Amino acid sequence: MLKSHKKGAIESSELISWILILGGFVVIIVFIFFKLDLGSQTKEDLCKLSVLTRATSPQEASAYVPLKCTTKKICLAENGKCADYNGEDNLENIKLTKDNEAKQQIEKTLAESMYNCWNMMGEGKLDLFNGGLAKSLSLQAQSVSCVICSRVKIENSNLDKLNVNVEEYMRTTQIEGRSETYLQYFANDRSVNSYVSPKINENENKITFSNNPVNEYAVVFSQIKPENYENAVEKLATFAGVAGVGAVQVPFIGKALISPVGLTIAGLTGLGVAGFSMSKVYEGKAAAAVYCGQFQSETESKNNGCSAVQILPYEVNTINKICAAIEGAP
Amino acid sequence: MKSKRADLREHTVQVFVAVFILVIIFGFAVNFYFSYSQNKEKESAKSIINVLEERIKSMPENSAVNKTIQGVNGENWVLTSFDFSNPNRPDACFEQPCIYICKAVSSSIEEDCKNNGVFRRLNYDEIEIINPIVVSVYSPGGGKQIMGYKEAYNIAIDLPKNLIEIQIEKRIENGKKILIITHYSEEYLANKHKLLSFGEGGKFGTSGGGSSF
Repeated sequence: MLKSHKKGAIESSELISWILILGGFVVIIVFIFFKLDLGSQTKEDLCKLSVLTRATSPQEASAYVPLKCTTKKICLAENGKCADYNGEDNLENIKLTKDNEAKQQIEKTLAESMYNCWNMMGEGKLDLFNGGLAKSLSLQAQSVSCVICSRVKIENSNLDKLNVNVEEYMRTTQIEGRSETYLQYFANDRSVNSYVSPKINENENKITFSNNPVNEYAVVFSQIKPENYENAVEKLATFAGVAGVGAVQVPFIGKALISPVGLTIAGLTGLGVAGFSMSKVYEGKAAAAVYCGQFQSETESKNNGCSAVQILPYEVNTINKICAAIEGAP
Repeated sequence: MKSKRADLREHTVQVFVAVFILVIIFGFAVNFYFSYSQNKEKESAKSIINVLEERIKSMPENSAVNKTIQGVNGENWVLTSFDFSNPNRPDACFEQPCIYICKAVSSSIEEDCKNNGVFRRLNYDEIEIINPIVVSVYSPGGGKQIMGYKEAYNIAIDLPKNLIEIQIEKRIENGKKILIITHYSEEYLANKHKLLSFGEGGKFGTSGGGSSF
């Protein structure tokens, strides 16, 4: 508090002190977030730090806080190398075994990628893409923004025979270092042991994206602040023909490699103003997690929104249909 | 007891200094705000051009690949190139051809790239950017009747805020190292069939002219 000796008068020395403190604070913030070499930290730590910084910044300035997230490239190949990833930054090569262990390697990698992404992005509860000043002044339309947390390339000649089932893996496997399964973590409920029943209208909802076999997938985090939740979840995770509130699309893995990639839409139950849900894949092998509710914020005016993390084929048409803008480094 | 006005007069200098300093801080903040938003877009462009450079370098000669790349998180950014065929090329590309990601705000891509862009010099004799469009050809004499369609080429590829697919081709022709980066936009692919109305002669391969779809 400023001392005032007379009503309305502030000592000039104190005023100058406060100005210097304010100026010093600004300089330190600028130094920490824009100039300090954080090379000693892992890319994931750096991303998480930038996510927290953005989420706790005032809305008018938050869009200008950079998300220092770099897409992780994971190569799962029999020879341990993917030619397509030559020269890529933030690359991890995993040698796939030729036996049945390959199935588990793929499932583990995809499940972990989803977990890491969700964890890194504040489990969907942080307001990351609020549009900054332009959005505050209503100059910008509502759109879905994304971060591609990782890309996973699978090079296995027998992939279609492996019967990869990420969904089942997430239901039955505990996360390393935690006493809950992936499914329980995403559902934010330790009593959850099964997926909700899908509402499938096959004619309407089975959408074909590509005639080409897909062997590269992206783990995508997306977020929107909607006018209503029905639209929000549709924009985040579906393209058309959604029956009911709260539907997500997920890719087939495995069968999709020998046939056109089909995406199914699965219904979520219990998705309301706030809450976590985990989608059930109709006959696919992967899953998506969605959070809709009030974002955590330091400010009084908390925003509502929806976030999702999902595995999608890494294709222009597929990703661009969901993401109007992608942040982070490729 | 002094009046408020007397109090204010007594502290005129302090108030003036305080206001002056606050104005400076406010000015600094506004400047920082806008320059940083520009810088953020440039950082995004840098990371894209790094990926592109690495991908090009890692490719063998006489090969072509399709590459899905992330666009720039900002408006009006384009991918273009400058080689020895362009006398107005930016200084950065004077001795060696280069690829450039620039913010296109005027009709002169050269000026835009000089003012706001990131570049990578590449060891090639020629670098071509091909972004074909279908343009309509009108009847002579300024008529409004469309006579047919032809293919024209933009010398820059618009980079969206999400993903874009490009084709990178490395070729050696008559001892010359050539790099070709091609993008077929959805618009072009949707209208490509119209070129058939002109038959083989419909492809003029010109730059610009007519009106695109």
